[in-house]
Amino acid sequence: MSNSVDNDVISAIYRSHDPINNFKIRVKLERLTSNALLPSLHRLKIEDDLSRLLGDDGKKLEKAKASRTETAQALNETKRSEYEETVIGWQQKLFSRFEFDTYGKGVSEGSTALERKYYDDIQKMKVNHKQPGRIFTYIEGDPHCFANDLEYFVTDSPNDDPSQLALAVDNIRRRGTNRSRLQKNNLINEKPTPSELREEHYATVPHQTMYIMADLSDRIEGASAQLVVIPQPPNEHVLCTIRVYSNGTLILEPDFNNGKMAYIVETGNVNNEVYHYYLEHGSTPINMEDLIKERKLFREVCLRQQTHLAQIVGNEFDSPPPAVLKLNVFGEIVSGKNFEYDDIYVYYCLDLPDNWYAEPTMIFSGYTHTASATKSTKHDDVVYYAHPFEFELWYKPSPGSADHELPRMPKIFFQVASQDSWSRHRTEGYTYIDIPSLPGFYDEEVRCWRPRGDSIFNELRRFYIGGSNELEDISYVSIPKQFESEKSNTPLSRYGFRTVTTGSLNVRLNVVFQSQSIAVEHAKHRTAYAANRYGFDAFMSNINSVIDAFQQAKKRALEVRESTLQLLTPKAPAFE
Amino acid sequence: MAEVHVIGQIVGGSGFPESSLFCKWKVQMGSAWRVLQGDQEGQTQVDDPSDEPMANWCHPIDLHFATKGLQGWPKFHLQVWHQDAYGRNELYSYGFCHIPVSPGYHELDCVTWRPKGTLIEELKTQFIGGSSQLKNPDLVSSSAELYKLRTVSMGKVHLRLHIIVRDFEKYGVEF
Repeated sequence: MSNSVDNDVISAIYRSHDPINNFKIRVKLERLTSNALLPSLHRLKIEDDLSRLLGDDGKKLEKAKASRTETAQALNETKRSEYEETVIGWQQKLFSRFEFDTYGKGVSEGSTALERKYYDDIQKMKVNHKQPGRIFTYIEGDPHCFANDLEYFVTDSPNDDPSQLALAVDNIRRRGTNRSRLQKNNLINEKPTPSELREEHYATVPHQTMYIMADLSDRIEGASAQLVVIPQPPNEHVLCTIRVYSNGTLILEPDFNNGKMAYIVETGNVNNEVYHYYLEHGSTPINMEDLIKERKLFREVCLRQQTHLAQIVGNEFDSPPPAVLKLNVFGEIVSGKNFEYDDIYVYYCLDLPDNWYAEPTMIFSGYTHTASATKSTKHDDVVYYAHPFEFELWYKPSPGSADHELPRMPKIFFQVASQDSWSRHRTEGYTYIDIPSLPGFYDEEVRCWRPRGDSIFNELRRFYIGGSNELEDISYVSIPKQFESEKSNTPLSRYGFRTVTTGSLNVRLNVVFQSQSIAVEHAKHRTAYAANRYGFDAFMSNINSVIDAFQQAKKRALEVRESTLQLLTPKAPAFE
Repeated sequence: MAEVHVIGQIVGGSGFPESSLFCKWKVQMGSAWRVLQGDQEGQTQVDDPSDEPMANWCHPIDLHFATKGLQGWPKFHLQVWHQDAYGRNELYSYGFCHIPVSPGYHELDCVTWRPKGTLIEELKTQFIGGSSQLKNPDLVSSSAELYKLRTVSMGKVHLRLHIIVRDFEKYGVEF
């Protein structure tokens, strides 16, 4: 992926669900000298690779042998020229020389637990005659970490100041597990602590950081170190920053570079030396068996969840009998608008044409509650009903009907009436709605009218004492029943019938169709699609032609047999 | 069995006399239906807008049903309550709405009403608040008995719902 020549010192993001304690990183640090006689590790590495590539050639092999002795020589030299290699685990503390001296001085009254622990560790190291090397680490909670301000400054400006956001995000150290359930009471925290403020308001996951450092100060060899105590400012460089988030993300800056160019760091000392280092991933990998077992376990868990859900859902469903269409209507009378009087209710009823069937227990009609207008609309008089109705109907075509004859859809008739506080009852309007012939969700507004009568007395009576002309047969609103049954050729005429336009009703309908033939078609479509894709049609037509040819041949053979039989059968003798 | 997902929100309520409102909602369905995942009922927070006419709740609705038949398609029962400056809660209105049947996105307004008392009771409601309540809140969706009520229309509750259906075509259902 990346050019091996390039030296990208950028961060790399890795993701893993394994416990972070298994993580190990190998660091190789070496001082780069300009002496060409002593081959550097890098050059040795290149020669090693080359020798592997050219290993077949006998002549080169000898050279390789020679280079092996050179390698040994070089390794000896590197011991002197400060080559260091360590494998570091997560949050493993390695001491620098400076820390070794500081913490090893002793424990006092005011030492923190950390200092005490370090002192103990250093004593153990002294017992084993171990000396701190150049590579050391800063782990979580090290005071020098913050003192060196390793985290905050990203630019090289001397006046770089971390913002509030940077301070807050970097300082989030959440200890407990996430609260998965909301508390039922005490939702508001009146006095949050600063750490709570940071945790709840900044969108980062809790993380831990570790720094792998190199101590590049001059070494004072041997016995002179005891005599001369020259205070030196510690010359520390960050080799690698490792940040681990609690959701399994691992950010490594810079990335592993085994196989690529080494990273170079220069000391700021008087004798400006150059060091280079490699970072390698050193964790022990999982072996194949364990990996296979883990994958199998995950797959089983997922499978079990799926089957569990499928079991709960099950396979049954109510289906209508074959060749019958089932119609479900879920609807509601939502509201009425701009009627003449207040305190109005709606009477609705369903009208079934021929060939429609319903259960006898179904309710075909009903009344809404008597509603009074809302004050929320300024220009219209709106009354809210939110009155539900539900119909379940079956359509079975009559035996004599034509094939695929479209059914006549049922209608719902509405009559709006008002009843005021003095019990005056008035008709406010009539209307109807067809149940749509395509399924779906409908939000309809239907306008209403009311009959007026011929003389003015009807209106006067309606105004003063209530009572108005009502329709005897509500089906007059659409196509009257009487008209239908006559089957004459005269057109429907409502001439002479006077009406007044009143308000409108808002009705919502959800129409659902169900039938077995729809299910069959759906299944057919799916297999037909698959068949077309694989060209089964051509295949089938070939088969058909073969069968046809066979049938023809069989027919001809039979004919021949018949004719020969006729020839061979003895005829009745002419003379008896 | 077929499955239905209802994913959406109760956006808010508008058109009520006062705006410091909260909403109690409940999903009612027939016996052929079962809730697989999601809360079947809940209550929004109290929203008190200072100058807007609409109270915003943005309360999430995430339900997963399994069903054996089309009867008893789920419906919403809503109650809008008002909380005044002294912390008293009074019931404002009842509302009802069918969950739409066709899959897709729906923006619905669910209208609400409250029971109306006598003239004296209405005067009382004007001054000290609190109207009469239904003995059985489920009366809202029983179409056979609503004719006994006299009501006053109140405001509207706005809903935004996405409907996703599964396996209905296998049983021959067309939306």
